[in-house]
Amino acid sequence: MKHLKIIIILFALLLAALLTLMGRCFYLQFFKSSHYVQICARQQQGRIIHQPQRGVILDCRARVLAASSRIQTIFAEPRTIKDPIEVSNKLADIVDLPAHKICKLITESRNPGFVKIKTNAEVEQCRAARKIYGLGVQSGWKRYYPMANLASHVVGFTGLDGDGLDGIELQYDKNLKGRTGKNVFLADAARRPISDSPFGSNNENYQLRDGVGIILTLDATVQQFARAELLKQYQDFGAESAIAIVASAKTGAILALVSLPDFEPNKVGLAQMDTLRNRAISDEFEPGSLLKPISAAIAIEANAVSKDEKIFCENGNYRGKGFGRIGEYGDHKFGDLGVREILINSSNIGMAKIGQKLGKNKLYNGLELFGFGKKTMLGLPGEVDGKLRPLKKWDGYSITRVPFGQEISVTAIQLVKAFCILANDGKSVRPFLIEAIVDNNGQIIMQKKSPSDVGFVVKPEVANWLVREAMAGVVNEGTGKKAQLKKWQVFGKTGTAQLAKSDGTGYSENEYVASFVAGAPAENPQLIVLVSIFKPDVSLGKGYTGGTVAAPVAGKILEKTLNYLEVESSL
Amino acid sequence: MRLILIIATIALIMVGILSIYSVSNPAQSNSDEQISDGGYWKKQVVFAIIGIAGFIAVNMVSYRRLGAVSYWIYAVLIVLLAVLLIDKYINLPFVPVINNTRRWLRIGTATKFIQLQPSELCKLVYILALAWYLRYRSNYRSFKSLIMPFLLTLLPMMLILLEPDLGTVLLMMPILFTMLFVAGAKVKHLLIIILMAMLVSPLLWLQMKPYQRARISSVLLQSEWVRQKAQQSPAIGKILVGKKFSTKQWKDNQGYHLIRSKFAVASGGKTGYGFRNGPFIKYNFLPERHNDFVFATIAHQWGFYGCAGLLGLYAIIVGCGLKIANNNTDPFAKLLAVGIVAMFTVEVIVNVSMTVGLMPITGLTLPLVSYGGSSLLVSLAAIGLLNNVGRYRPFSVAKKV
Repeated sequence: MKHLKIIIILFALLLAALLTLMGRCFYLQFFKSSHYVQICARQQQGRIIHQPQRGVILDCRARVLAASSRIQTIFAEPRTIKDPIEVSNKLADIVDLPAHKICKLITESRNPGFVKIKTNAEVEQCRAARKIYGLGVQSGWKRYYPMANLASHVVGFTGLDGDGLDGIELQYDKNLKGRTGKNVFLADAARRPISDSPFGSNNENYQLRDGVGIILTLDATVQQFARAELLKQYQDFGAESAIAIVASAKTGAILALVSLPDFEPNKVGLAQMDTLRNRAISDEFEPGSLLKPISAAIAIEANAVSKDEKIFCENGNYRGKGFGRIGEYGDHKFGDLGVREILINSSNIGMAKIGQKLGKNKLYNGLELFGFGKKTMLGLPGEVDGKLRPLKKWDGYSITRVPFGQEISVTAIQLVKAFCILANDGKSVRPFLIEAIVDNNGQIIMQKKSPSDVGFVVKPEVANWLVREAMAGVVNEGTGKKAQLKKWQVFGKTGTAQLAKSDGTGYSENEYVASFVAGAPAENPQLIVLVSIFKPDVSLGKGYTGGTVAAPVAGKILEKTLNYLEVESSL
Repeated sequence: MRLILIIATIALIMVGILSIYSVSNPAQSNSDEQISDGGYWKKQVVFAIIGIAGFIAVNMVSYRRLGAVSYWIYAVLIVLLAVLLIDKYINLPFVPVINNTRRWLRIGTATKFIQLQPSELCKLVYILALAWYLRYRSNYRSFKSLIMPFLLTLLPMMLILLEPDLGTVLLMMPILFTMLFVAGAKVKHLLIIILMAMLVSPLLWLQMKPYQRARISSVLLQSEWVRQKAQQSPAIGKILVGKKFSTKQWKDNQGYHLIRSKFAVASGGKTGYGFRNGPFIKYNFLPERHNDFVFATIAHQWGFYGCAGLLGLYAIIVGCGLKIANNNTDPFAKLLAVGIVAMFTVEVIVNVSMTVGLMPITGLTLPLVSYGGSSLLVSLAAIGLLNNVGRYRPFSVAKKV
């Protein structure tokens, strides 16, 4: 009986062990099955990735601003190379590199699996290199910018991984990038494909789709005119930075946009951080006298003043309770002036009085309608709003200062927009950069539609009067004489704004923004050009005002561009 | 009783051949796919026939006669095991080195030969000798008298350990304990010995090489939590694998088989992918799948029901074996049967446990199912011995009423 008991105990123990195993199987196969199947499927998956070609960026005449081309890189796998000297000697004959350098690369590589030997190798070189054991060829895409600095701020640049980091490259990154092709398959231990995945049904295959092309409104020729003229002046006057924008007056299409200093997008790694910023959209400054025609337009539109009304300009010294003292530039002592004369002589006191007649509500609303205080939505990353202070913060100083461009800060592109509105018979205009987006088969995916008439910011007669009478007068007889052209009637306005000190204690003595906004021909405006030159070196003694520094540049850009566009002579 | 035993045995052999066939010739396979082990199932059939011959052979004589010569056979086996070790110092032509181990004896010419694994034979011979020794009650009742059975165990154990063949070594201790337990050794003595072994084990652990440690710790390292801890703290890593622990290395080396076999088992699910189907059958994701990991392929093809059925067949063998042991009043016969049952069960437990990730991976095969000549021959001979023991009807002693 005792033996039977022992045997039964033993049987029970062994059976229990077998049942434990069964339990384990049950657990794995019932509860954990899908979990492990998933992991397994992932582990046994091989992938082939096809990198899409990034889309091109073209100017409005289909000149290439940015494109990607395939480059072949010859690399070595150091751990598989038994005799680096022999391999180096062989490879040295194929590629144009000294053998000892190749040998050094191979033997001193930190990564035993990969070291780049030659990038941008030719097809013949690759074919020969492939035959040497331990070497391989990798193909990839390289972004290049054939126009180098020319349109660097508009086009932007990409990072090492091919992602757009600034400009159009960033703004339209998704479109330009396309879709990575992905081929998923079941792989064996050596990652060789054996079939499509038999595990899960989650099909992760993607068809390769190259990026789409983007056609800009930018014209490389106009851009070249603008950049060359601006650069010359920028260097001559030892300025800190400079901006030039050329826009089509009636549509707002940007033909050129230059921000100096600029950078070389092909070697963006070497660029100074400071040069990467597109100042035309991301730097705000007090416009000074440039704002006067806009303020005047708002006042006339609101019937606060009439065109012919004479305004007494206080002989150059206007003071009063609540707004302090206002003087004139160059200490001119003006008496009675009409609105046109106020603009031609750029009288601060005249504008202050117009502002007082207009009242802050109407001025504020008018400036808002012209687009100040908010982004123009040009379509470039990094654009800022500028500062149009909210009405409740306006005081007696504000209503007398804002009309001539103080206590408000704007971006260059906002100014361009505002003057385009005046040039477009007072109709609203929105600046834009993208002409069309085109896929790889030449199909147009998106084309800029001409904007519907969104309405008048000011009446056509007000706008036309300001352009043809007042602003043409500035060029013909006032501060903008240096922008006069023989063939066309130019209109424009100078601006010489003092820069606020960085510590906020008023204005700096000899730091100026010299600006000129111009357009032509006055009878039927085609172009608006804005030139702003920041901090021209006063100590050079060449001048620092908008009229002397910026106006000649604007004039030359206008002249060249009008000639290039074959705009009929109007004089 | 014996009929059931034989039917279960044949069923297991059939399952084995089918599994080996399935991985050699999966369904929908093209000839150009990478199947290099195409001939295994045919060989296994031959082995089965030889095994059945062995089965018949051990039934030619009474088990009692075998018992009488058991010490001699035991001695011969020890000599064979020693010969394998001599190869370490003097290169012997008939001892091949496979996977850095010396487990086989080669008989025949260089091209045509058969290989024998003395350690496989040793298991059975050892059980025979031990049972023969333990047939006297005085040989195990006192603590001192236990020294001899342990010597009988430790001698082949050491020799096999040096081959090395860890799996077979691990097998012998449980057999010894089971047989001592059934013979009637005092449980107190056995517990003292186990306790002593447990006290020594940390020392043994520190003596082990990193790869051996890593193999055993792998059971713990399956858990992501343990892996994280081991990777974070160098001290834990040092204890577990003897050096800095790296998950990636573990997954590529010690963990590789473990993970894969678990995947194969788990992906079988309730009913499995079906005969000759399923990714683990079609592609060689699991090395040794016809051999040590044959259970994984069974689980993959037939799912939980297949596993349960297989383990059920083993349970039948265990039941039959113990019934035979109980029916025979001869202590030698009883111990022989129990030893054989213990051997089977431990082999099954260790093999299946390592496949499903409950125990470290050792070279123990799944008896009667795994591919392998020596293993199948010994297993069938063991069943033959069980049958032999079962043939002798017990003396019917009338009970006192």
